[in-house]
Amino acid sequence: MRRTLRGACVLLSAVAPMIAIPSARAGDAIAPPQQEAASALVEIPSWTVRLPKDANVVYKGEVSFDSAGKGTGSMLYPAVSAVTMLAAVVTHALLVESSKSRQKDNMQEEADKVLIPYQSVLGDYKHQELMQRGLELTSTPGTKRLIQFSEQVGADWVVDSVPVFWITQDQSAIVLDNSISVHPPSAPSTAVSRYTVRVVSNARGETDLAGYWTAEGGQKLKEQSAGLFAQSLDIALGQSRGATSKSDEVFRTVRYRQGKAEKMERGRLIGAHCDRIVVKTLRGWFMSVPVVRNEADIGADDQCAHAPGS
Amino acid sequence: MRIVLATIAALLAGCASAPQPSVALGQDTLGAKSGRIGVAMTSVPKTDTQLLGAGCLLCMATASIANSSLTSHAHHLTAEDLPKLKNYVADLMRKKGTEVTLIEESINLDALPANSSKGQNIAKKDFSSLQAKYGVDKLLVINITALGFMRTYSAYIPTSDPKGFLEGTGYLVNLKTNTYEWYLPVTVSKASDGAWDEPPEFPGLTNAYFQALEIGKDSFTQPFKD
Repeated sequence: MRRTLRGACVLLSAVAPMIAIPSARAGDAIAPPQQEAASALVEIPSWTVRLPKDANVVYKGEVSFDSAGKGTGSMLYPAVSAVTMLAAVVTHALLVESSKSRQKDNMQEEADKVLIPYQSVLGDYKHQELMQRGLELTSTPGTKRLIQFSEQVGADWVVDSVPVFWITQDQSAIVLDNSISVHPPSAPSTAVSRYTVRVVSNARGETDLAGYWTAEGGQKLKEQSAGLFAQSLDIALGQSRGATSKSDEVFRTVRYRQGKAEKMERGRLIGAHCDRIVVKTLRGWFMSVPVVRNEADIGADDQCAHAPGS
Repeated sequence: MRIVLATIAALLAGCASAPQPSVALGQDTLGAKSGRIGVAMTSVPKTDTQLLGAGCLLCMATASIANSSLTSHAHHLTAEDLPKLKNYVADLMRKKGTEVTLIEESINLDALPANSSKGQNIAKKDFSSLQAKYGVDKLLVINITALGFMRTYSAYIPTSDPKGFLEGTGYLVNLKTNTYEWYLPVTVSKASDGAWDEPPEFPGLTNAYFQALEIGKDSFTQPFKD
């Protein structure tokens, strides 16, 4: 029975109705959600991923804006008249806003320095390569193909995707934020479903992580990125196929691993498999993230080794 | 005139008193030989928005109006299991062999007299009366002072985006000497992941609030896990 549950694909776990779990920690034992009957899902006989306009895959350094802000401070405004005072306040506002914006840009620039060892790989990494490889790794049934942005689509379901990757500052994990639109065939534009899916890879333990990711033309980095991309498509398409989550689910704060750090997210747990959970966040985004391994899962390496986030 | 200047100098000196620095938990502070320790919390404050730096009355009013929908949302947030933080700390102390008395009622610090002694590692309040009341040798207090959102201002102008916020202090007072054997100020502020201005539910900031809540709880329990 345990093997059967472990063998179930991540997608089905993700889309299955949730059972209420009152536990406060994601690392606690998580009962596998009941799986929705396959017959309840809309069948997608064939689907097409359309390449984005921009050719290059976007990577950024993981950044935190927790310390952003210019602090408190007193300000004396000239109060010669109401007009001068108002002008002074407006000027102060413009200066502060510009300074805040510049500070965030600087923080992102600083965070992006983690990408320096990856430039030779990322400079030539195109969406065509990422998406072709990712498409092969998806588990959503149906025939699938990749087309150019300007190419005419046939009677397929069409998936538009804008992936943005982040490398954690400890370089042990890759994070994907994927904005996905799914267009049913011959449907009006209003029928488009939009999803944002975040997938966080399992953390790597190598000593030389930059060397690990960039070896052999960045094979590992590309493999991992494609796996994350595949998982995000499976989650979005699962939702488009009609998977729903109950509205009376319990919100809770789940803990997960992002690289070697512990992170938290408020949301509803909608799936669990292979040391990973799928959460629907307060914004309605989907997140597939690794959690601390439960004792019960030790020995499941064979089944989980090829899970897309591994 | 001299009296006025002396009074002002005394007031300024009072304002300039050095804040209590952190006191690490000693290796022998907990355990079978540490005596009986009471574990208590003050009342958990209402979730709210802190607007720091909006100094003048008009600035405060302006900032308050500008953030009214966020404040209204803050009032609906839950503190979840934060009132049980003392239970978690008590359990961790028991695991180290400490005799613990969990004090169910909230401690009202304002009702305690000020400590006549002043100085570093000396409690500001006189906790000695609680020794007999609860039958304990030491008292561990968790005092959460702010919970919700925080935004910094310079007069009328916000100098930061709002953030999820938790602020408080944990300390262990020796009731015989009124001195701190552990003192930990905790301030957690978490930015929204992406946009923050998403009324009326503010999902990004609400997430940041719950992150701050969890990190805050971890900060208070971590010293007892080491």
